[in-house]
Parts: sequence; C-alpha cells; structure tokens
Amino acid sequence: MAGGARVTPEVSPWRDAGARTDAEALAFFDRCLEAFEQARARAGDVRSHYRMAGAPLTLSFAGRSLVGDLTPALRHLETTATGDGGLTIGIWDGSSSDRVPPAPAFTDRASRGNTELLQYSEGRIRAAFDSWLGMLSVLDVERNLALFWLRDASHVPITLVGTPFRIILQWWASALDGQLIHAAAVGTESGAVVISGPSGTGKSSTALAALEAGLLYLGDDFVLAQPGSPPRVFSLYNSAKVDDATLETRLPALRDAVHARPRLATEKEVLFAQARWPRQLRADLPLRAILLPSVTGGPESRLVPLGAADALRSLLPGIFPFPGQRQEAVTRLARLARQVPAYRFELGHDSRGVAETLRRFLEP
Amino acid sequence: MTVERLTWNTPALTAETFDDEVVIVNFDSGKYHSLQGSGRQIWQWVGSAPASDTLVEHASRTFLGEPGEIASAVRAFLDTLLAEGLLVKAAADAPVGVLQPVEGGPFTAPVLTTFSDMQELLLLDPIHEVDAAGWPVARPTDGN
Repeated sequence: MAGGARVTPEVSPWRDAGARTDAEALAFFDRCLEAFEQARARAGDVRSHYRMAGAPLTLSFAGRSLVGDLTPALRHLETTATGDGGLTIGIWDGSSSDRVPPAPAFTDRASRGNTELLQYSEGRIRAAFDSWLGMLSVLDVERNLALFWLRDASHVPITLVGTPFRIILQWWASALDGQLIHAAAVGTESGAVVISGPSGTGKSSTALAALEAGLLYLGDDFVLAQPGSPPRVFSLYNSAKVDDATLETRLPALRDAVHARPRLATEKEVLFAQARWPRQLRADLPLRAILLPSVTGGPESRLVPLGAADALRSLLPGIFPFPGQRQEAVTRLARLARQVPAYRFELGHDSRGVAETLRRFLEP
Repeated sequence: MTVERLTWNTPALTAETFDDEVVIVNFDSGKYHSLQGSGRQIWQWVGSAPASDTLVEHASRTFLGEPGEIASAVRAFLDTLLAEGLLVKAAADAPVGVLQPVEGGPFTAPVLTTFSDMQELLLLDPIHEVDAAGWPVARPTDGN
C-alpha cells in the first residue's frame, strides 16, 4: 500500500506481542463492541443458537452477509433453545458495514509483525488479528462475549467456511480444560479415535471412508479434546475438506456432496456431513485412541502400537494456529497422550478395509 | 576442564518426560525436539543445574561402558543442547540440586531429534504493509 510503513515478521513469533494493561485491553474491547453494535443496529440482528461441548453458544450476526458461509459447519449442533450462561459471538464485516474495529492504541513493530498482530493471551481480554485473512477475534472472558470481524465478506477463505471462530473457541475451551486439536475424529457408540497427522497423510480420506462405511463422525479438521477419566472428544464442525484427486480416485460417490462455492484452484473442496449423513454425527464420545495415519499402498490396513511420546509429537503442530497459552496446550496434550493408547494406522488402498479396521478396533 | 553450570532454558521451553523419551517444545524457535537413549536421563540431571564436569563424571559412573567414550558422548550432547538453545548457563546464585543416582545399565548414545514443521508453519507469515488506520494489509502478492 502506497505510503505505508513496511514491517517484517518477528524472528520469534511465539513471543506474545507486548503485554498491555488490563485497562487498555478492556477499552479496546469496548470500542470494538461499540462498532459491532452500531453495525448490528443498522443491518439487523440475525441470531442462531447451538450447543457445543455441552455448553450454549449463540451467534449474533450484523446482517446476513456472513451467515451463509459461517454457519453450515456448525449446523449439526444447532438448537432452538437459548441457553443461559453460554458464549455469545458478535459477528460483522468490513464489506457490508463501515463500522470497522478501532485501530489498536499500540502500534509498535512487535505488535504488527506477524499474524498474531495484536494479542492478549492471558487475563480477561484475549485478542488476535490475522493480517493474512483480515480477521479480528476478541473475547472478554468475564462477560463470556466474543467479537469477530472479517475485512472482506465477498471472499471468505475456505479455512473459515470449514472451521469458523476457532481461535475464539480455543480461548473459550481453555476454561473447560479443552484443547482444539488438528485431527479427524470418528467412532462407534462405544467411543471414538482421533486421527492426527499433517496434510497428505490420509487423515481426511480416512474420516470420509469411515463416514461412507456408516461409522460415527465428529469432525475432519479440528475437534475439541478434553483429558479426563475417560478423556472425551467433542465435535465442533461437521465440515470435511477433500482435494479433487481424492474425490476422483478414492471417493467418487461423494462428488455430489460437495458444498458449491467459488474457490481458488489451490483450495480443497469442502463438504458438510450434516447434509448427507445427519444420523452419523455425534456431539461427543469418549476417546479411545490416537491414531497416526500412514499410507502404505499395500492391500491391508492395520494398527501398530506406538508410544505416548509419538502421539504428543503428532499433536504438537496443531497448536500453532492458536495464540497464547501454548505451555498449557502442551501440558494438556501430554495428559491426553498418556491417557489413551496410540497407534500407527497403516492405511491400505481399499477404503472399506480402512473403515472395517476401525470398526473392529472399536468393538466393545 | 569445564566447570560452568548448565540448566534448562525455561521459560522459553517446556518438556514432557515419557518412559523412553523426553519431548521438548521451544517456544522461542518454534521447534520441538525428542531426546532418546541416555539423553532422557541426562536431561533429568541437567534440571539440578550441575557443573557440566560433575554431570559428565556422574554419567560415566552410572552407565556401563568405557568411561572415556561415555564422557566424550555426554560432553558432545551437552554442547548440542546448548547450541540448540535448550540449555543455558545457570546463574551463579542458582541453587544446585543433587544428581539422583539411577539404575544405569549399558550406555546408549544420547539422541536428539529436531522437528521444524511447526516452525515452518509459524514463519510463513508474509511481509505486510500498514495503512494509515494502523491495520496491516496483505500485499497483492500474498495471494489475497
């Protein structure tokens, strides 16, 4: 942008960008809230209610511009009742409203150098700005009130369509000792497995093969895990991401379940399990195991025992999208890794065999 | 003769100890690490902030093997941990703990494995421009 000052990423993006006083943080939140309320007064309040991880969640949109993109992933958790004491997220955007969030009072280099542009990771107010997506997330822990602003509603990135509000949801889940993990989760009535691994290891195609075979589904990309006795896994999103090649070669029957939307050539397709498999969705299940998929190319699928440290290492990269509280996140994931067994899931080329292996493992 | 005292580089990192491995996450670098073999036990001893010579001697007495080879391997391992930023020199007034005796068994070489996939994801952020309002705007080449 002409006339703008160029800033470069900090070398150490893990460092919290400049802790500020609680009073500054609260004042910033209140100015954001004022901008949202003005936008909502003009565009109208479009509300929907959900039950997530056993707690009420309310979305309050200023107008309808983001409703079509940001609600389908949560539809399986929608309720008609308004719950007391739950989290409310106020949502508006820069395309349909000129009521933008205030610029932060602090403009030092550190606070603008990375995607965690401004960030409070501790205390009452949490805030993060993703400069890549033009997305502001803020939460007031005491009021259980969050605000979400997106600069451009005309192109909502697929990551938001598939997994909306995930930074806010992680802040909120911390109070429940919960951790968003980058994993798929499928199961039977007796429990679920999470399938953790980087893109390309077969995580999503395994989850979709399980869906096709009639197994229960809690998510494909991010789910909420909670250590305990037993540990549990909660569904956040009914979305699944899949690339064109997988659709063509392994799961052609799912082509007509894809959510039609404009996308970049590099983006995966997104589909919503709620539209096709509503009876196979579950809000939560006890967690039975952590699986690390590995495509072998062989005919058979099988599970090979691994150690808890392997499970922790597979889960660690998933904490990177979430600003702050990373030490807590590591500790929570380590507890989880110690509470359930881990296996390398060697994936054969027959997707029915993949699902059958899971079903046999989960038999009570 | 090296008499400097070493300790864990906290709070920049956190470590989780399992039966046969220590997993360490370095919040400064964005890397995570695995310590295996005798590296797991050496890591535990470093928590007592010992002089490095004391630690090397303790390891040579604990593990079964040729003491010179054990000492050499442990020294090299400590140097590697220092270079990776996992250890730092302890403050002069830091309390010194007791190096706990353990069942040694045959010496297995300490192994450090470093994973940078998390770091790569963290450092992907492009250079951004800042507009007059203070909000950064991604350059067109950023793909927005």
